Amino acid sequence: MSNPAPAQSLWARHAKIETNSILLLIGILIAISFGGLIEIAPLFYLQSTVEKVEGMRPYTPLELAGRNIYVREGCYLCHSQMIRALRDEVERYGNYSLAAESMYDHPFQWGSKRNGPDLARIGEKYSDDWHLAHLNEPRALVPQSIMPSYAFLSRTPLEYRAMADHLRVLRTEGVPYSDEMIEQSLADVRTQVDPDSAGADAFLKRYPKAKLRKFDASHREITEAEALIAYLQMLGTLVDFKLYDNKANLR
Amino acid sequence: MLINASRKAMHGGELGLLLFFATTTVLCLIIAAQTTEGPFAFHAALATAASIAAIFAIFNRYFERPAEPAPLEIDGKPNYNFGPVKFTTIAAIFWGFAGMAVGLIIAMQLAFPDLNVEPWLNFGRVRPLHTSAVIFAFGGNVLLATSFYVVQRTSRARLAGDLAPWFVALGYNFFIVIAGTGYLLGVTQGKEYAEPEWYADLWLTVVWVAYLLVFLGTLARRTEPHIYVANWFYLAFIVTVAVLHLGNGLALPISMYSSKSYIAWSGVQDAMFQWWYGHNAVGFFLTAGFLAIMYYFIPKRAERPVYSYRLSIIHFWAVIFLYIWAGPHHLHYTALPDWAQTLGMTFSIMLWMPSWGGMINGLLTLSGAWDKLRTDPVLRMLVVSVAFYGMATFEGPMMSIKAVNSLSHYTDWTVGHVHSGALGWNAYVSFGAIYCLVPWLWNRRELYSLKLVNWHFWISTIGIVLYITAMWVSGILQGLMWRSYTALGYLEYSFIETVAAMHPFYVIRALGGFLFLLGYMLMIYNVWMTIRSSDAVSPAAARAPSLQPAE
Amino acid sequence: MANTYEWLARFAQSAGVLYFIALFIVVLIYALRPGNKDTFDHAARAPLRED
Repeated sequence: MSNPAPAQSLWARHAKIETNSILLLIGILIAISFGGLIEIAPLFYLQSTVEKVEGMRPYTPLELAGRNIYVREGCYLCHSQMIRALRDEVERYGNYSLAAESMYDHPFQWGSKRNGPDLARIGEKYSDDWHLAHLNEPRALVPQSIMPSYAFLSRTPLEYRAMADHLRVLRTEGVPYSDEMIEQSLADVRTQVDPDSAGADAFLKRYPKAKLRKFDASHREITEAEALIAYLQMLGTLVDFKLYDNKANLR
Repeated sequence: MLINASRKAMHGGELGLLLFFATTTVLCLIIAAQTTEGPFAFHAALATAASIAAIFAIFNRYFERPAEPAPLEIDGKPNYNFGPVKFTTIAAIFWGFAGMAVGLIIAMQLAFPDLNVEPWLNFGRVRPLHTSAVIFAFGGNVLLATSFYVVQRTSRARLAGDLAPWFVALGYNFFIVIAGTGYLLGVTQGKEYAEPEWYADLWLTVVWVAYLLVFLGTLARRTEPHIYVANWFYLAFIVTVAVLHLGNGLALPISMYSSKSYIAWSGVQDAMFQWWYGHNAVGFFLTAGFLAIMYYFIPKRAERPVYSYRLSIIHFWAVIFLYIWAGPHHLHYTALPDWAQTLGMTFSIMLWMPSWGGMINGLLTLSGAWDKLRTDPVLRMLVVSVAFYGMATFEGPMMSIKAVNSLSHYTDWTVGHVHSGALGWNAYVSFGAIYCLVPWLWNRRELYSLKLVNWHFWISTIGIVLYITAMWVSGILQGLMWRSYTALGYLEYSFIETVAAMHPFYVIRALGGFLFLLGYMLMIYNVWMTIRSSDAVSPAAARAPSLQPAE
Repeated sequence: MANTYEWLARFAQSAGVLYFIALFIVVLIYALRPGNKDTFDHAARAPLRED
């Protein structure tokens, strides 16, 4: 920015002192870089940090759109997606969360506070209708709930024209979206809510275990609520823990 | 480029900024026209208007100012630049009210969920507004104001730059407006305490670099041989926040015409980055920065040098060495590798020692002058803030122990811990600094009413006590209910039963928050009456110690 | 890859502590050296000097 003229003589006069504040700056930088580097750098050696797990795949375009609504509405401020390796949590929510299960999450949504329950394995525990009614008016189903109502989601059509851009950016950041997935991204949003469509088989090949159905039966068009429910219904359903080999990843 | 035929000319800073804002005007206009997203178009329009206003302001100032740049000294005394300090002080007071009022709203929403108004005022959108408003808007402006004040005073030099300090002060507050309105409109990155989207982050980076340059430039001008330790803490705060911001905020937008971006990191790496950032936002924004306030305002108000300058140096290096490691204690028992969790826990526990070293240093500065606590409620506020700092920095290391954390994590205990630090330490030390600064800046002999300061102190202290105790009880209660088993070995409570059990404590917490806000309004009135009063004195007299008893 | 990870993880757990102790000793020497006493006494009074 602007540094006015008279600085010239002053800078020369205080050359030595100036060095001191720069030295201080460098000292601070050295002090703070080590801790961060030593803790963060090793985590990028993925094989050891993130287990090898069968079943993980990138989000379908509809799930991704739903996830973005989850982020937008700040759901993570009350709901965690991280089941800790503690007895009561495993019994309440299911198998403890693996690092691999959030390997495609930009950003991660582990959360830090449970005003509501953990959602890491909420998928398919409730029906689509239950979710829709619950989003519309939580206290109609759970009288003691303190969750805000999200009725506007089922009134708002989903905006997904830029879906290919979303997938492309995520691919740049390391999510394995193929060219085909990006090309078909717009159509895939519509295919996922229309099981009878011609592209259904190809879609399932691209996204194994994806749930193909109309998640919001009360609206013909695709709503934001529908995308959000599609996301919620897949949470924690990708890894089959009957097949997961715990010992293969001991660290 | 000469505007006047005479020797008055635009200096490089003015020309550079005009060019800069001309560019941003065009850029933001294009974005406003091209984007299909309502909130993004709104922000682009806002930025266009702000850029045009800035261009107008620069021209206006140019025509009004004398041809020569402001002298660095007048009659052998430094010609301090307090304009930006005054602005950021007022901005801090304004944002503090907004942030605390929003805090009261979300506290009420948790007790009475019908107070949510979808979509804009739902809890999930308003909570980031509260945290950002109190930490970055209130706290940030307090740090800007005090750092610009302290670095000038202890360097005996005028603030570096002519327009640069104003660019920092106004630019930072513009960032706040963009970030805050964005949350309500659903523009968020979804990372706690780092919610602003890519374009707000980019703007903040520009402002922050200017801030660093102004601060370093002022230090370079100093006439004192040694850099006073408060400035070390300010410098560590500025530099580290820059590093944290860049590391945690690295994101790719899906297009130039969209507010949506995806963070470069994913999953466990993103979690580690987030809490490396998150905990050091506490360590360097809310601790290092505010310790700088402590190291200037307590000695100044108590009229005695800090208890041990040597201890302050050890305190400084130990705090910044250790804090940077502590982040993983937010991720105990998660999918983060165990060794990283253990490392985070170890360093968090070690942090207890330097933290208490700093607390002792602040408190013992009063030795031999303890009687002032009785007569000067401003000093009392400053000293009690240090006591709360000590309490929070004992509780923190304790909660970072994995066994304790397994109970406290995900519960209100964390919220209570944060607020014992935020209300007791950060807010109190800020109030103390504001009560000192206002008479100094506006050349008043003393505040309008020390009695009101006394009321502020007691009302808000009761508020803090209600808040923290309610959160301790609700946090530990809910943590215990979650892990409670029946005799047959089943989980005893459903999740919703534990939510229902929180209700009375949420009501008490909201009451505590209300009292804190009430005390804050007394401060606003007091500051307003002080500035409005007509008994202007010389700057020296305003800084001279002259205290009457509060009662 | 795994070796690098092991190496980095072990480095974090051992060298980090050594590094910390070394730097802490440097700070202690700087802060406690008798020769610095005057500088610090002068600096400590910086907030109290008026102009």
